[in-house]
Amino acid sequence: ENETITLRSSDGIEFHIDARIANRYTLLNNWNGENASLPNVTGKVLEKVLEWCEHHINDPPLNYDNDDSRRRNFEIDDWDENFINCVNQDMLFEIILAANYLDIKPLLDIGCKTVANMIKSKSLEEIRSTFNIVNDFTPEEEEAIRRENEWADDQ
Amino acid sequence: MNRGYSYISLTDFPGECLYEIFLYLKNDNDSLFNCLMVNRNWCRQAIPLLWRKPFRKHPDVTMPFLLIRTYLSCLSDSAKKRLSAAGCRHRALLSKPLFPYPLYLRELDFAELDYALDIWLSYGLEYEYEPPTLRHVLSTEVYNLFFTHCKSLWNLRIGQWDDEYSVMDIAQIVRAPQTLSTLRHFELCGDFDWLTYEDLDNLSNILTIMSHFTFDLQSLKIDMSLDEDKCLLKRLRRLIKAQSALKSFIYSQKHGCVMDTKSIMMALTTQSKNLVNLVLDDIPLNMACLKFLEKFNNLKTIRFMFCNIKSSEVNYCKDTGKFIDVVPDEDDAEGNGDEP
Repeated sequence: ENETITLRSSDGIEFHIDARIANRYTLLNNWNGENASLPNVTGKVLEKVLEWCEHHINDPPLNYDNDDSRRRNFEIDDWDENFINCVNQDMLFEIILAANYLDIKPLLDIGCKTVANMIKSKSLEEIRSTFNIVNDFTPEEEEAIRRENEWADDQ
Repeated sequence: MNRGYSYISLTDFPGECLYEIFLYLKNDNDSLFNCLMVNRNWCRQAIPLLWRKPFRKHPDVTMPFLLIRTYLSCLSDSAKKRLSAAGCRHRALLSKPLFPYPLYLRELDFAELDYALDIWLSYGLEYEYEPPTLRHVLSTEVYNLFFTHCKSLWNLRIGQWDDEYSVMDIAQIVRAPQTLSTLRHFELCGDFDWLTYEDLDNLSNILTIMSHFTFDLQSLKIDMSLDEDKCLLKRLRRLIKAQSALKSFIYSQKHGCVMDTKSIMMALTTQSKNLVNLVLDDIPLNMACLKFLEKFNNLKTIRFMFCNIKSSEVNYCKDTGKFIDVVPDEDDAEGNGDEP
């Protein structure tokens, strides 16, 4: 039987996971121990993150370069697409934050691709309303930003 | 899908996560433009990505014009004074930008920059004639701006297949060596016989500086015509030898000679441990040139395009155990000329 380790979420929920999962991701591995608490990740989010990790336990070893060449396409495999489509927007953002915090790059990529896809083809106002964002520019700043970047405005 | 109302706002999402998201939009200027207008936090993350490779073949001339207008506002006060003294009266010289835009430049093609400067001179002046020294002063100041303030230039392309162009003397810019030291991809192309002696000197000086400061090229592409006095080839060989881990090399020289090919192949053996991809295009070859291939242990593909290579030479290369792709002379260049 595979060795297991215990991780505790910020709200005190314990998860017993296959040690091979932790071995794939340095930060999870570092947190393995008697007081393996993840202060920034709630149980609900950690459960989703670990569900993803468990599915990908037998993936080829990770090899990420420092450059951003991997971010070339929007392709997401079927299982991942189903996984990410089943979460609401809050959970999607939480998963991105957790994957970034735990340095799980493939999951971070899936979350970021999904949000990037949601941004594409939307107008400025649609982006603000979809993501519940308040415009905090002063009118002068907004005008200056628009003027300086006008070359990229093809609309 | 409809993901429902969100309680978590992306208003204050951590900058590093927003940047990760925007990286997927790095080639989509329309989306990046919308992102930078969303709020201050989004703007800070989207601006560096939008300004990585601003010079593209814009179909509309207003784009390069507006681009140069913003870059002019980034010039130092003394540079603005010099432009003004050369006859430039544009109001861009009176404004200060919100962001240090030249800092973010990652990819630069001299031909695209020169085209944008030409457009600006055609449409940006508020009078009918062009002051005689303005073109030179404008080019000098803008090139100086990039090679002084750009923090991490990755891709550089110099030259064009045109009989009327010049090469800026960037070697005299104090910070040019640091800027050139971050390059990952370099492409030199064109028929250099058309260049004046001054422009040829400028190009030679750039290559010399690069051979002293640019060590981390991953790919090098040379696409040139006959270099009669070998001054560029000599510097290119030095540049090849200076690399720490060149992975891809593409070499095309119309009307070149076997000795040129051999000298380049010999220089390339310094990269024999790292080179993965080799493309030889329209160059004369003989067995002496191919013998060098034995030293390349990690080479995965060798592509010969229009090299008039003999079947015995192809067989020899195959015996080295490497994947060989040969595009014969009879093939249509358009259909086979795609780059790896």
